[in-house]
Amino acid sequence: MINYIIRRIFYMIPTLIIISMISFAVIQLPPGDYLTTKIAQLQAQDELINVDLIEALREEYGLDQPIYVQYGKWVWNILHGDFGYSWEWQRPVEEVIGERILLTAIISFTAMFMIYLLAIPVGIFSATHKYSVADYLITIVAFVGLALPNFLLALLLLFIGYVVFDVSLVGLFSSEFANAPWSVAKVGDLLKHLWIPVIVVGTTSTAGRLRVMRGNLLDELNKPYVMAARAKGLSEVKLLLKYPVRMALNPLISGLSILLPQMISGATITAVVLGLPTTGPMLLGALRSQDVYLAGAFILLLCTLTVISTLLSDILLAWSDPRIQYE
Amino acid sequence: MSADNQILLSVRRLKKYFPIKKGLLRREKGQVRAVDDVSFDIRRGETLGLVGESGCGKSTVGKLILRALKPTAGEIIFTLDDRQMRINELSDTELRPLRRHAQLIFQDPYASLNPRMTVREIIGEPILVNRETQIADLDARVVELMDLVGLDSRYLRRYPHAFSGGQRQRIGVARALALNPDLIIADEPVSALDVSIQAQILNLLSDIQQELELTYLLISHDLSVVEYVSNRVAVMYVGKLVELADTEEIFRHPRHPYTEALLMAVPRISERDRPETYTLSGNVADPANPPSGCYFHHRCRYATDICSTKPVVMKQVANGHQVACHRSRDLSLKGL
Amino acid sequence: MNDRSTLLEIRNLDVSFFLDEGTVEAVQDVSLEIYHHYTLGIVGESGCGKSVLSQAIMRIVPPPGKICAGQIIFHGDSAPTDLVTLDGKGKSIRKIRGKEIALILQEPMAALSPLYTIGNQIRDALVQHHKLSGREARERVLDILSEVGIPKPEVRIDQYPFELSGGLRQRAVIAMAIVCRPQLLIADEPTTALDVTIQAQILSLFKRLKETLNISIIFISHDLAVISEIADEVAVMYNGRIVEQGPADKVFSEPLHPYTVGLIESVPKLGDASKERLSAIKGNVPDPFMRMKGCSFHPRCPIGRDDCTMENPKLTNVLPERAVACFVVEQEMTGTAGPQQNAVE
Repeated sequence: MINYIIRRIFYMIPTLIIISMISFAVIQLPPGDYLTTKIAQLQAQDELINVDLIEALREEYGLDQPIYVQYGKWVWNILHGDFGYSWEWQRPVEEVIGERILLTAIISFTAMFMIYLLAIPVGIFSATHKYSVADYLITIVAFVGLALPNFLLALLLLFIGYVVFDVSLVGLFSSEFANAPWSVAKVGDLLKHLWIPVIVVGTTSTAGRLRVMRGNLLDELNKPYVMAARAKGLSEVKLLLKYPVRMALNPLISGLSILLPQMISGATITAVVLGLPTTGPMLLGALRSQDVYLAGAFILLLCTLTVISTLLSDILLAWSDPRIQYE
Repeated sequence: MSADNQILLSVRRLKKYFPIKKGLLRREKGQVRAVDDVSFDIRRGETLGLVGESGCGKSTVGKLILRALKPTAGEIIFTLDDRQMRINELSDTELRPLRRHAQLIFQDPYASLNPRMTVREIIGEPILVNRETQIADLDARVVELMDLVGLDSRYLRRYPHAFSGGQRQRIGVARALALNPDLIIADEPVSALDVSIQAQILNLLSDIQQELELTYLLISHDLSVVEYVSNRVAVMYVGKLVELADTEEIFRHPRHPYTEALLMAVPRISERDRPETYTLSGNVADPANPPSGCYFHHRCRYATDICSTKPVVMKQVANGHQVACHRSRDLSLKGL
Repeated sequence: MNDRSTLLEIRNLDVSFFLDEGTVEAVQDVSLEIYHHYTLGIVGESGCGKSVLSQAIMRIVPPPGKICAGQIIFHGDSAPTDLVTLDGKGKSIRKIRGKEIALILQEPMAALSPLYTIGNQIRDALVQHHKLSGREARERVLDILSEVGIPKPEVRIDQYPFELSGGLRQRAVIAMAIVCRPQLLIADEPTTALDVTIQAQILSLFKRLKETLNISIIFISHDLAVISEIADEVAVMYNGRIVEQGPADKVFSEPLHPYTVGLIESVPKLGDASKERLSAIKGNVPDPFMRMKGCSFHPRCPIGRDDCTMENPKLTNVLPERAVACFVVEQEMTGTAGPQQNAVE
């Protein structure tokens, strides 16, 4: 097992290096840089351009140097905890994204928790009661959930909130807490607002995973080892949980690795609709205004997260299925 | 068997090693010796049976002859009329003529037929691929082949799922015959079939052998099938041949303790309470990590000191009877 | 052999599968008796209903299969129970499964979950049926592993199925079945996936267990020779019915039913140098969805008559201990039978 984990971590290093290069290349792709955009903006507004300041900034960030030097500087600084400076926000990148990452993580992990908490037991029920009325109902709800785009669901919930309950469901905080420092009351307020984005972000994945669980389990239920377990005299629930369910979980475990980054990037439109102070809208803004260091930091984080969550799900999978370590 | 005893296929010192990769860098840490120094001849018109337990390398030999796998070392020489093909040396394009002379019949009649192709397409495909016949004549040829293997030619346009296991195996035989091959390699051709169907296919194989003067290499774990069909039998154990002789000779007077043990292990209807039942203990040796000396010595009841130290080679002990055993001369083993 | 007492009695059992494509009558009107310390062999080809029969006895026929009629009376230590009347998921049948009657499935790899060590899977039945501490259970598992001839049980107990060879795996599956010392062991093709030398080892293990554990065995196989080696009595199944039944030595030396005759003649016999052409049974194994009027072997039968298609022959005693379901044979042996008169048992 340890050997397996070490080998996987070892494989991660080149992956991460390549990812950082691609991230950097992507943010450099559009012509010009932030400063040229800024200059153009200022010129449009007929404002005086402080040429000395521009040149100073250019030098500081090495914008006048070859691209590999810029890349080297960027990586070197990141390794020291400095993600660069956000032109747009006029603050260091790590300060800008810190809180947003926290809020995004809260929403994502809560949603993930909900997805698995719902999808696994309902999937098991659906499979063991194949073609019953309950199974058909679950199937219909799941297909609707799969088909409904997140942002539409968000709009729907907002609409119902306004019309029926006369409450505003936008944002993660009530107005009095939005810019307040963290306190117990603010956490309570967050929890009050959290369920809407969690439902919106989690519905599709829950429906999808439910169907996967049902399908996998149906396959496993016909395997001889289930019959062998039944022939031992085990009760249905006991044998179900010990044998086929554990086997059917494997694809869900490997699915964990895509789920995490998917929720962070994929919830962008939802976040815009719901006015959530999460990472999605900020990444969008950074890409639009060529705020290179902010955008680069996001892309790098997203990719690193994918790599790390893949590693975690692989380790989890190896732990759950002993055959994998021996491949 | 034809009278001239002409050799169709010669296999010399054939080896196939598969690498084992392990560790952090997936470096080659050893080899599985699937086929290790195997030599034999197949004479034109005969059936050579190749028996052994699962994992002994018998199927790998078949794949090497057809060059579905590239041998690690050794020679495979195919003699056609006065021409010789060194199969082990040929490149992929040079191999195309080989496909016309050697064909395979698969074990599983369910997995070896494409479910989306009709019988006509399945049997006709090798002919089309090798541009043997004009398209117009194709149907006639396919019908001829179907008649030959006892399939109703009205079913020309049916798909495999409409046929039973026995009929599917007939389709597989017809496909193998499509190019008029000289050699047919049949890898467990009846082991996936029901008992009452096996006899039909075995009879079919022997009928077409006579009719078309075919040569067979029959690969099987089933000794009774091998005895029934083969003229000569080769026994394999952990990648090596351990004994080769005429069928009757090897079954009546085995000279290798492993052959004896195999014969003893087969349950027989006619001999219910067998007086001396001797079951071979232990498991087959690991081809990645074979024991020293004779690979069979740790399971052999006749083994002496020399067996665990000195490797064995095949030696001629009687006319046409080869055996790889240090003690073959002083043992008197029990046959059927 | 008159003093033998009955352990399990099957009476007129019908099992059908209700599929969208139609109904498959997998087991039809099967009656059998299994005695204490006794091996019954059931021979038949794929789809003849032999596996379904074993699942019916365990009451684990998978849906859409159902026991439609008949009784399965188990004479255990307590009063005789008709297993058919029990709730298939209830406590009473679960007290019998694994403890009184155990099942061994064909593919040793498929019968074991790849996710648990063999020790873990063998322990299941033990802790289900007995109150044992973890250490006691482990001791018992180690005992049973050495009893089925697995070398180094203290190592093997913590290994996963894929770490064992085919032969050892099948021994582990056998250990899993006999760990609670059942009275009846049902083995469905337990040697089919194995090599001959390993098959011989497993067969002698079965023979030994029958003596040391004093159990009865229902041994199911398509392989006539395997059955002839292990069984006291044999029942030949064709298309869901028993077509011939009798002491194994007699059935194999003088088969009566044309299907049994055909089966025996169609397999090459080791050591038979004559190399005579095999007499194959013509035709194919019948389509399970097709319901045939009369004897279902009739289309393939070399001695069939026109009246064989009129009704289904019943299993009839034609000699002491020998029963056959064939009008032609019955008439030859007793001079009386035919579809019309065939009302007697």
